[in-house]
Parts: sequence; structure tokens; C-alpha cells
Amino acid sequence: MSIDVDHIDALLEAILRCPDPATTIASLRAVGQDDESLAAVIAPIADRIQQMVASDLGAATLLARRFVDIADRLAQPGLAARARIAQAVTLTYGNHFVEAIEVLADATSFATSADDPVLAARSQLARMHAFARLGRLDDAATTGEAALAEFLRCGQPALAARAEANLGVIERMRQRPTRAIERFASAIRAWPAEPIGRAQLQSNLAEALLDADRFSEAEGSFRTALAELEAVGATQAATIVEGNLADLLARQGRLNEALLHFERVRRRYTELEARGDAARLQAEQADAFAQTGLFAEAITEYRSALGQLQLHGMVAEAARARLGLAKSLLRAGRIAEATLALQELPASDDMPPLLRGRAALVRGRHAIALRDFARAEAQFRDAIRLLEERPAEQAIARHGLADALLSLRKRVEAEVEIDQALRSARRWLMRPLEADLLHLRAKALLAGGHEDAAIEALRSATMGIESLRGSLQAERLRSAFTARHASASAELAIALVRRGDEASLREALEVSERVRGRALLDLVARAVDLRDVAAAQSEDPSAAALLREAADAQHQLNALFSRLDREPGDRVGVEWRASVLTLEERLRVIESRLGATHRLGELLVSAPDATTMLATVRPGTALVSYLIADGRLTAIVVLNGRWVGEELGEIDEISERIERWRFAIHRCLGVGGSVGGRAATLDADAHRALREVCRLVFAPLWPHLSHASSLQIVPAGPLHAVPFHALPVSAEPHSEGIDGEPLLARMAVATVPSVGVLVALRARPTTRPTQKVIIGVADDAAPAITFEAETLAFSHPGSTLLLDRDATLAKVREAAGGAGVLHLACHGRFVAESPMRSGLRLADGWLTATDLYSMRLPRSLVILSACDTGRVAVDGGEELHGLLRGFFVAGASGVVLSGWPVHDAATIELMTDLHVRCDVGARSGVDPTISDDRSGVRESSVFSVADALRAATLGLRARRVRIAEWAAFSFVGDVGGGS
Amino acid sequence: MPSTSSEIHGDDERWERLVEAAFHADAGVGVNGSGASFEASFEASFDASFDAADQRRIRRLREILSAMRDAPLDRPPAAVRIAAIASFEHRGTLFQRWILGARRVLMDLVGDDPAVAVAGYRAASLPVRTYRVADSGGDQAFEAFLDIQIEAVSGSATRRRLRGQISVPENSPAAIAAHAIAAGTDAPVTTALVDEDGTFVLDVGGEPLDLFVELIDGERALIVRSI
Repeated sequence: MSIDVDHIDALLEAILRCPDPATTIASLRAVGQDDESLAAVIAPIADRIQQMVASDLGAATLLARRFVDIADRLAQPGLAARARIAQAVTLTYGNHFVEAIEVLADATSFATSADDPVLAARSQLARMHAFARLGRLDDAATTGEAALAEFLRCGQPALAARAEANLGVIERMRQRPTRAIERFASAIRAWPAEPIGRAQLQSNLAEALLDADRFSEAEGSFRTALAELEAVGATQAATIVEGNLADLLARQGRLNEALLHFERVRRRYTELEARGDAARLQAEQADAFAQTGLFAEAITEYRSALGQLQLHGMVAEAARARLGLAKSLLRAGRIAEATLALQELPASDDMPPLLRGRAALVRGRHAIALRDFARAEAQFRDAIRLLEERPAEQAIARHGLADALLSLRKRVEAEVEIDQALRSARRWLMRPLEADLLHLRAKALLAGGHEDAAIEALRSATMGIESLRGSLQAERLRSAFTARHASASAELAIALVRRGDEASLREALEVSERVRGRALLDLVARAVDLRDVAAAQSEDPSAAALLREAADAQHQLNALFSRLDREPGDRVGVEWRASVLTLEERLRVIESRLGATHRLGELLVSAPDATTMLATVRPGTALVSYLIADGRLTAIVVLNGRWVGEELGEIDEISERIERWRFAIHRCLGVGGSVGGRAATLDADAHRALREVCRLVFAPLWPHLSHASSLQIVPAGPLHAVPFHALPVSAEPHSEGIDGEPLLARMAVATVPSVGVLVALRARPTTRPTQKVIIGVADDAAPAITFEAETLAFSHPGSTLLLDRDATLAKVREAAGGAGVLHLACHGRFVAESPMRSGLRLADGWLTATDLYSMRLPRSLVILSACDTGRVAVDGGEELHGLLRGFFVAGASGVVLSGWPVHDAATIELMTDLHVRCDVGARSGVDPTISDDRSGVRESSVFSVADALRAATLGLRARRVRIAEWAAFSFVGDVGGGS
Repeated sequence: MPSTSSEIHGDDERWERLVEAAFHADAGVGVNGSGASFEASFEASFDASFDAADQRRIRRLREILSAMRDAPLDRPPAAVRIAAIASFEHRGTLFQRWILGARRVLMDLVGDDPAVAVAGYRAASLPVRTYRVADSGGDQAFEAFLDIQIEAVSGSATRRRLRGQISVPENSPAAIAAHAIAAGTDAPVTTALVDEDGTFVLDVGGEPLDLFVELIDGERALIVRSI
């Protein structure tokens, strides 16, 4: 007979009320009912007790004990077995495992007496749980196997599937992921049509696949489980699975996808009012940000998570998050805030050893930042002791210790630590750490006066960094990685410049290019995420398949390396190393196969070699490449095959002088277009400030450059704010004087983010549309914009004009796709706090640098006739962020842009002249400035955009004397490139 | 027993009380009150009768106070400021704070209408704000400009770098120091020396601040509110 739920609850009530089994039996027995019938009626109580353990263990335990008494009094072996199974479950839940095993042995005996093999097998299954909880995994597996065999023999596929699932869990615990995968897969096949359990099994399978480093399949399983749980509305379980999926994606470096899932999970937790879980997840999200070098974002998330973690008493999670916060603050150079975060960590005794070790590691780094090397030494020694079981992190601590020892002039001790850490780094294939250690060894060698050996060590370090970089996908990941390891390359370049011979200078130029805007170079050369590239290769399926394979290999490598931070050393062993080596080899093979086809070879971008770089520089054009290392600015100059290296000065002083110049030019703006009086004073101040900049960054180079016909400059760091074309240079060819005419009067000048970008620009198709697209969005402050746009459109019949209300984001985006020349006259802004939000104001909103990533320009010349369009923020690894980046990524071949807010009336004069000169030059191929007496421009037979801008600027200077008005615009691109 | 004028003159403490009483009397009478009621109120609050010299001093005090109440307290007319300083500076340290206040000169933002400030530029705002003060109350006309640029410090959500440059007439005393002070107080947050070009740099947090630029002769201190 069957009984309904309410009936069972009534039975439970009766059992709970009465401690005496005889009395209870009497109250339960219906008139004339025998023991066997009563046993059948009350048997479902056993299942109900098992269901109760999660919600009310105390009541379940009491009920189970009384139920066993009742079953024994009724002397029904089947009931006795079921009651004992229920009791064992309560005991296991209460962590009384030994007692549970004993109770289950009795249960099996009773079930056998009752001739109920299925019940006996269920008892075995419950026993397996208790063995597992005791860590007796072999016993658990044996018991589980026996239960499984019995279920199969008795034709119980659903129970057999449950046994398989449990055995899968045991196999995971035995670190046999392959066996676990087989078990879970088998269980899923036999699982009844019960979606939640099936989805949970999929999630278990995914975790086993993760254990086996089968990341793609794990992702597939997580996604299946998530879809199934969402389909049946099991929100809480779905949330847990999606959190695991987000974590997996973050480990693979697929940050954008990971963040999407993190955000969804956070929202779900918030909806479920599980704010503690939401905060825990937020901290994991912050970890993902920090791993990819997005420290500002990580700091924000950690801070937000910390409040909730503390509020919910999640002490360990809060400590972990605070440590992550301190680490990110240190990485971001926010030392004072890092100090506070470290002070707020719990006392050491209140933290587990692993966290204590990690805290010591961060405190060591903090002490180094404060130049307290003795304290750093002590902290790192502590970290090494506490991280005994984490060889990867221990090696990192040894690197820190060696760094501190070197600063304490304990060179021999430092070298011992470096050697020891190098052994670990090589064993665990920690290539970034290996490169850092080689960098440190070079410092030690330099300290010992072994310059050649130091250069060799730096060469090894930089090659290691370069080879690893190729395995990282995602723009921000690559740039963060390059930035973190840039100093070794920069120091090598400086050491080579000091040698001074041509071979060393060539190598120095190559090395400096390896750490200069590499992520931008990838984007300009279209080496974006390989999955995206593969998706775009519809016409070449075999290439698409190779690219997908390469992307998978990249993701798997990232995930494998992430295990070094997460698991004890003994979990990351020989198999792990073999997997890494296999994947690296696979990447190399794919790269070589892709490289065999001309077009796809461009996808995996290397920094150019010196020969390729020189091939982009035309005869008569001088190349000046700046680099910063060890706090000093250095320049390499190449002109007509002659190489020169110059050390220029302290970058801090230069940076301050450039800031003064920026301030001086900004001061000039406050007086509008007026002349004389205060305007003249401010203009003189600006000239004086620029002369100081020139004295520091350019005058020493001038004697090597004065015979050049044009100048291609690769700035570094703060030099991106220098208007090189306006620098005052001496009329004397060999003088470093700084009182002459602007450089522009002597030659055309263009800057470029890196020589690699120049090479990539040259490699693009040489043809582009002839269509001009002119955009103008005016307002009361800048009414001349309308006139400028209409004038340009009138002068260029057939051009596309989008004016004011017509210049919407959508229309501009569409029109730009066919623009050979794209002219944007509008308001512009640079957002220092978030440079990629810098933008151009159109009719219905701002066209930001980020928006430009999804635009495609057909190798267009872009003219940004707006304020501040050339300002950039320079991140580590010389990555430039601002409109310039956006337009190059979109496909521009060159960009005319402004260094500061531009005067409306002066701009229209410059722009109309520039377009005329570009048109004439493009038609004739000859510089149109030859006959322009006012400009004083020297004759030139080859036309370029830089030439046209030079002539237009000099023309403007003849009419408007204030530097703020005539010098605002410069050209970024190929100095010899035509329009 | 009523106080005598000599007692008032001879005692810094009493003199301070006199000033205080003048403030109160002035506040009670109001700006349009008659001179007689002011003096009566003053005399009553001080419980004293004054001789002719004292009467002159009191009248002077009253003029100063009225003028300061008419104008914003931060920026009394130059004549009033000079008269006040002359009246009090020989009294020693007791009035330093008062004198300091009297010497403060509030600078005005040039083009405080944002639409006017950006007119002629293709920008929503300009990076530098210019403040001006013109003061003709001293021995010679004084006109100063102060340019300020505030930018976020890279990597910090709250820190700001304030770069300033003060321009004073050629023969005027130069600026020597710039202080960021907590808004509405005298509490300095950070200080920087002003170089020979008149420039200075202050790194400050996100809190509301006033800027205070000291000139070398101590005659004036230039104030910019709510930078």
C-alpha cells in the first residue's frame, strides 16, 4: 500500500512524541493489523528521515534511533535494514562515520535475511559514503563496486547509475580523473529522466574533466549542466555551476567571457539574497582581473566584496580578498593603500599556513616597495618556510628574497637563491618567473662587474618572455604580461646602446621593439583572439580549423599554468609537465603551418627585426627611437645607414618638464584668440617651456639629424605628449642650440607608436577608396565647424557630408567603411581616468576609442579636427590608450590629430589648407609646397601627408603667431606615406 | 568702576575686548544704524567712557567693520584692509589671526560661465582655470593671475595633482608658498614652495579644498575657494 506525505508526517509526529517503541507501535497499529502489514505501512519513514538530514539533523537522528527500536520490536528484517540505513545516513551526516559503518554492516545482514538483495546493495552504497568520509577510499571503492554489481544483477539501472555516480566521486578523490570521467559518463547514460540529478552529474563530470586538464570538454559539460538546470528552473544549482564555468574561463584567460558569467552569477546570488555568496564570487572575479593585469578593476571589486564578506562573517574569504587587494594595490603602485590593506589582515595565528605564507610573500613585496630590504628579507624567508608544499609560490618567494639580498649587497647569497629558484621555475615550466630570475641574475652579474655575462642573461630573459607571449590570448592579457616583464628588455637595450657599435645598436632597436606597444601591434596586424580570427575564415575551412586548434591550445596552456597558483606541488607533477610541453609543441606546429601561407602568417605577430625596420625607412628619413630603462631616457638614431645611440637624462626630470610644457600650453588657451599683453606673456612662457623640453630630449640628437629630409619618431612614455614638429632647433647643422625655428621648418615630422606598427601599416593593401567622408557637428562654442565641413565638401565634389543632426553614430560608422579620407570636425575629449572612453562628439553621443574597435576603415587617412584627439595614456609595455589606438585598430593608415584643445577659427584655416595640399599632392605626386614662399619649405619631390600638414602648419604660423594656435596638430603614421 | 582709556590702551587683553565689543556692537546696530547708537551700544557693552583719541579709534574700528560687512568678508576693500592692518599689527601676536584674515584677498575665476570659457574651442571644458585679482588700495596697483590645472593622478581613484602658476606684476612681491587648506578652515593639508617662475605642484586627495598663496612681503595672501 502507499501512503501520502501528510500521513508520513503524522507517523513521524507520533514517533517523536513517544520514546517507548511499544507504545508507539500500539498507537500506530490499526485494528486487526499484523506486524508485517504495519511494517509495510511505516517503511517509507526511512526515506523521509534521510530527506530530513539536511534540514533538521537533530530531529532526523532522534527519529532514526526510535525507528530502529520500532523495527527491531516488530522483528521484520527488511524494516530493520531500512531503519538502519536511515540511521547510518544521520550518523554520517553527523560525522560519526565509524558508528555508521557498523550500523550499515547490521543493515546488510538484515537485508540479506529478508532476502532483499537490492536493499542489501543500498546498504553497501551508504557504507561507501561513510568509508569515503573516513578517507578509506579503497574500501569505499570496493563497497561501491559490490553495490553496483548487485544493482545491475537485480535489474535496477537507476540505482546502478547512482552507484556509478558515487564511484565517480570516489575516483576523483583517489585522483584518478580518467576513471572518474568514465564513471560519471556511464552514470549519465543510465540516469533516469530526472533533470536536476542528471545536470548535477554533468557538473561532476565537468569537474573530473578539469582534473584531467580536458578543458574544452569540461566547458562543454558545465554548459550542458547549466542549460539543463536553467530549463527546469533550478536557479540555485545553476548559479553554482555557472560560477564554476566562470572560474574555468578566467583560468583560461578568456576574460571577457568569464566576466559575463561572473556578472550573471552575481546577479542571481543577489536575487536569491545570498549576498555572502555574491561577495565571494565578486572576490573571485577580482582575482580574474588581477591575473590579467587589470589592477584598477580588481581593486574596485575586492573593495566592494570585502564589506559583504565581513558582514556575513566569512572570515577566511575576507582575509583572502584583502590579501588580493593588497597585492593588486602594490602592483598598481598604490603603496600607502597597500600598507593599510596589509594592516587590516587578521593576525597571523588566525590564518591557515597557506594564507600566512602568501601574506608573507605580499608583505615582502611591500617592504621592497618601501625599500626596507631587511624586513623584506625576513618576510620572504617566512614565506619560503610556510609555502613548503607549494613549490611554484616558494620559487616566487625565493625570487623576492634574491631581490632583497641584492639590494642589501649580499650578492653571493642572492645568487644561491636565484639558482635554487631557477631549478624550481624550470621544473614547473614557470617561464615568466624564469625570465624574471634571469633578469635578476643579470643584475647580480652587473653588480659583480660582469657586463657581457649580464647581457647574455638579459638576452635569455627577453627571449623567454617573447616565446611565452605567443601563448597568451586576449589583448589585455598580453599587454599586462609584456608590461610586467618589460624592464629586462629595456635594460638589455640600454646595455647594448652603451656598447655603441652598430651591431649592438641594431640589436638594441630590436629588443626595444619587443616591449613597445605589442598588443597594439597585434591589433593593427589583426592578430586578435584566434577564435575570432578563425570565425572570420569562412572561405578557408582548413585554416579556420588550425586557428581554432591554436586557440584551444592557448586556453589550455593558460589553465594549466593557473593550477600552479591553486594546487599543492604534489598535485602538479610529471603529467602536468608533459601536458604543458605537448601543448607548447602543438602550438609551435600550428604556428609553423599557419606561417606557411603568406596571409595567415601575419596573424602571429613578431616584433620586426632591424633589417625589416630599416626597410620601412626611406633614404633621407631619419628614424629616432626613444626608450626608457632604469629611470633614464635613451635614443637610437638611424640616418642613411649611420647608427648613433645617445643617453639623454633622467626620465623624472624630463617628465616634469613635459608636464610644465603641457601646463604652459593649456594656460595659453584661457586668453582665447587675443594677442599682446597677457596672451603674449603666456605664449612666451609656452615657448620657454618647450625649449626646456627640447634641450633635454632633442637638442643632443640634432647634430646627427640636421641633414635629414624627414623625421620618423618613435616616442616613449611621457614623450608622447611632446610636439616634436614644434621643437625649436638651431639653424647651425652641428649645434645643439634651441633658439631657432621650429623643427617643422626644416623637415616633415611624424611619430608612430612603434616601428612594428609602421611595418604593419606598410604591409596593408596599398589601395584605398578615393571617397572623402566629412563629418561636422558644431555648437555655439565652435560654430566654425559647420563652415569647415561645408567648405571641404564643396571643394571636393562627390564627397559624403554628414552635418550636425545627420552625423549620428550609426551613419558615421556606415559611411566610414568606405572612406579613403575620413575628416571629423567636432568636439573632442580625452578622459584621463578611462582613456578608451575618450571620444568625438557626434549628433547622438560620443564615438569613443572603444567603439572604434568594432569599426573597419579601409586604410583611411583620418583627420581629427577636434580638441585633444592626440592625447594618450601610456601604460606599461608602452601601450597607448586613447583615440589614436582606436583609429589604428579600426584600420587607419595615418591620423592627423591635436595635442591640446584647438581654437575653432585657427583650425578651419589649417584644415582647409591641409585638404587642398593633400589633394594637389595626391594628384601630382609632388609636394605642393614648392612654390609657397611664405612657408619657407624646402623643395621636395615626393609628396606625403606629413609634408602637406607641414606646409599647412607653416602657412598657419605665418598668420597666427601663438604656438597654441599653429602647433596643435601633428601626424601619426608613416612620414613618407601619401594620401 | 568704569574702565579708563589708558587701561584699554595699556592692556592687550582689554584691547582685544574692545575689538570684540566693536564687532558685537556693530552687529547689533546694523549697517544703517546711526553712529550714536553704535557708540552707545559699544560704551554700554564696555562699561567705559572714552577720551577723544579713543573715540577716533572706535570710529575707525567701526568703519572697518562696516566696510568688511558690506563686502565679502574674504575680500575687504584694499583701503579697509590696510587701515585694519595698520590699527592692529602693532598690538603683537594677539591679532595675528585677525590680521591674516584681513590680508587675505579672494581671487575671482575668469570666465566663470563654462559656456563662455570654452567659446571658440572644440572642447567641453578647458584644462586650466584662471583666477584674477586686481587691487588698487595699496601704494601701487596690484594685479595677479593664477592658473590652475587639476588632473587625476595615474593609478589613483582619489588623488589629484594641482599644478599652478601665479603671475604678479614685475615689481610686485613674488609668491613664496602655496598651501592647500581644508575648505572653510585654516588647516593646511599640504604645502609646496613656489619656484622663480611662479609655478607650484600640490598632490591632494578628493576632499574639498581652498588654495592659499603667500606673497613674500606678507602684505597679501591670495585665496581661491573650492578648487
